[in-house]
Amino acid sequence: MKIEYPTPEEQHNSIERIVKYGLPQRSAFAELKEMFRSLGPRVIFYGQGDVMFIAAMAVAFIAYYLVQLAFQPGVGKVAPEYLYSFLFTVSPTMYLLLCLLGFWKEKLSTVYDIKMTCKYNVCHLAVFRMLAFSCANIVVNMLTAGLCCLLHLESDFWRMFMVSACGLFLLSVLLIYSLLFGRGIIPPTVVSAAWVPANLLCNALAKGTYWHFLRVVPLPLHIAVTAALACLYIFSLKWLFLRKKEKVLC
Amino acid sequence: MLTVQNVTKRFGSFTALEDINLEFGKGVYGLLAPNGAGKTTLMKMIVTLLFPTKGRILCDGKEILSMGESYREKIGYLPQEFGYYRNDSPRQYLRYLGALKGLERRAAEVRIDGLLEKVGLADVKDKKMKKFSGGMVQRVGIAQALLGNPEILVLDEPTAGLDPKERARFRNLISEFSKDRTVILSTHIVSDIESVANRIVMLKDHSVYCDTDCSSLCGMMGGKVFECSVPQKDADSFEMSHLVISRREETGQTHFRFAQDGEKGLPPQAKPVQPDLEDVFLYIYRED
Repeated sequence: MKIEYPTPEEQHNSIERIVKYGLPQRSAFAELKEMFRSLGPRVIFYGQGDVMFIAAMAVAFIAYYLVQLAFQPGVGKVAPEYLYSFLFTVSPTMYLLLCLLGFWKEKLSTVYDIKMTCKYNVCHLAVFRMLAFSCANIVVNMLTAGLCCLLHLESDFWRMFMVSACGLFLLSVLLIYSLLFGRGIIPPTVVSAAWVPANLLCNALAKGTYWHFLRVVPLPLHIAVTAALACLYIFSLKWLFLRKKEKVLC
Repeated sequence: MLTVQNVTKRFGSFTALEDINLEFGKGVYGLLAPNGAGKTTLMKMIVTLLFPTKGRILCDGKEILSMGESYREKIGYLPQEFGYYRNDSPRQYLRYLGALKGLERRAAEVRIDGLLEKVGLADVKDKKMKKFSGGMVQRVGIAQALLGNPEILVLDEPTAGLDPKERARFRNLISEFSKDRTVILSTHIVSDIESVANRIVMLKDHSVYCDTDCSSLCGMMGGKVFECSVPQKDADSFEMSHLVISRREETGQTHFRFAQDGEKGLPPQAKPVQPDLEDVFLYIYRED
C-alpha cells in the first residue's frame, strides 16, 4: 500500500491545526497585557495629549464648582439629593471626554486606514485606552468623593464613591454596546450626548425614584449593582477586542 | 496565494463590485481601471478595511477575516490618500507604525534606516514631514508599506505625485521586492504597470474584464491601432470621427495615433502600429 507523502502545504496546515488546538489559548486580557508590553504607553496613547488636556480641564472645572458650592456665601448646606444626582451625572465626564474625543480624533485622522491594517489596530488601542481611562476615572471619582467630604458637603464617602462608580460603569456599558451594535461613531456620540439630558429628565420627572436609588438604597445593593455593571463592562470590552466588524469606530 | 472568491460589495443600493473571482500568486499584479470602477474597494477588502457583502477572500485557503492579526502581519498597505502626522519626522512616524505592526524595536530601527535609504530619504529622516513635498511624503508612504516585510503588498496609486526619476526608482524597488511576494498595485500611469506587472487585471462594469499578461492584452489590440498625419485644417473633424489616443502638432500637419475596429473609414495614409497598454486602456474604456 503506497502512502502519499503530504505536500508542503498540507504539512503546514496540519502543523497550524495542531498548534491552534493543542496549545492553550490566550485570553483577551493576556493579549492586552502582551500588547502593552510590546507597545508601551507612549505608543498606545500617541497623539492623545490634547484630548487628555481637555478632560483634565473638565475635571478641574468640576472640582472648582464643588469648592465654589461649599464656600458660596448666604446658602445653607447643599441638599444631599442634589449632590448625589450631580455626582452620578458628572462622574463619567473624564472617561466620556477621553473616549469620545479619542474616537473622533481617530475617525478624522488621515492615518486611520493605515493603522487599521496593522497588527495592533485602532480597535485594540481603543479597548486598552477605554480600560485605562475607566481605571483613571475611578481614581478621580474617589478623589471627588474625598473632596466633598473635605469640604463638608457630605460625610458618607463610600456612598458618594459608589454612586460615582455606578454612574461611570453604567455609561461605559452603554457606550460599549453602542459601539458593538451600532454602526460607526454616531451611536456612541448620541449615547454620550444623551447622558446629561437623560439624568436631568430623571431628576425632573422621576425624582422620587431617582433620589431613592441614589440616596436611600442600602450601600451593599449599590455595591452589588456597581459590581455587576463593572463585570458587564469588562466582558463587553473583551467582546469588542475580539470582534471582527467592518466599521467599529468609523 | 490570495484568492478572491465570488466577491460582491454593495453600499446600500449601489453595487461597487459584482462577483469578482481572482487569484494572486507571487509577482506583480497591476489593477487597471478608470476612476470609480472599484479598484480601491477591492484593495480595501483585501486589506480588511471593508468586508465583502457576498463571497470571501482567502489567504492560503484560510478566510482572511477569521485570521485577524496573523493576516495583518502579512500585509503592507499604501492607501490612495496617504495620511501622516505632520509634526513627525519620517523616522518617528515609521517607528510608531513599526511598533503597531509588532516589530521589535531594534529590528525596526535597522529596517527603517534601510528603507529610508532605499526610497531616497536618508538625508531628511529627522526632518518634520510638514516641510516635505508631495513626492517625499509619498515615498514615506511606500517605506511604511514595506516596513513589516510583508508577503502581500497592496499599493493604491503609489506613484501619484512622483516625478519620472522617483517613479523609476519606485519601479526598481517593486521589481526587487516582488521576487518572492505578491504585489498588487493600482495606478492610472499605465507605463508604470507596463514595465513591472506580470499580470494585469482590468475592471469594467464592476466586474473583472480580463486577467492576463501585458503582451496578451496588447495582442488583443493587434491590427486595431494606427498612426497617420492629416492637414491641420482637417484635424478637428478627424478627431471627432475617430477614437484618438494621442495627437501631436507638427508643421502644417497633425499627427494622430488612433484605434479602429476594421478597415471601414480608415484613411489611406494610416499605418498600423504595435499597440501598447495605453492604447488598450483607452480602447476598452472608450465609452466611460
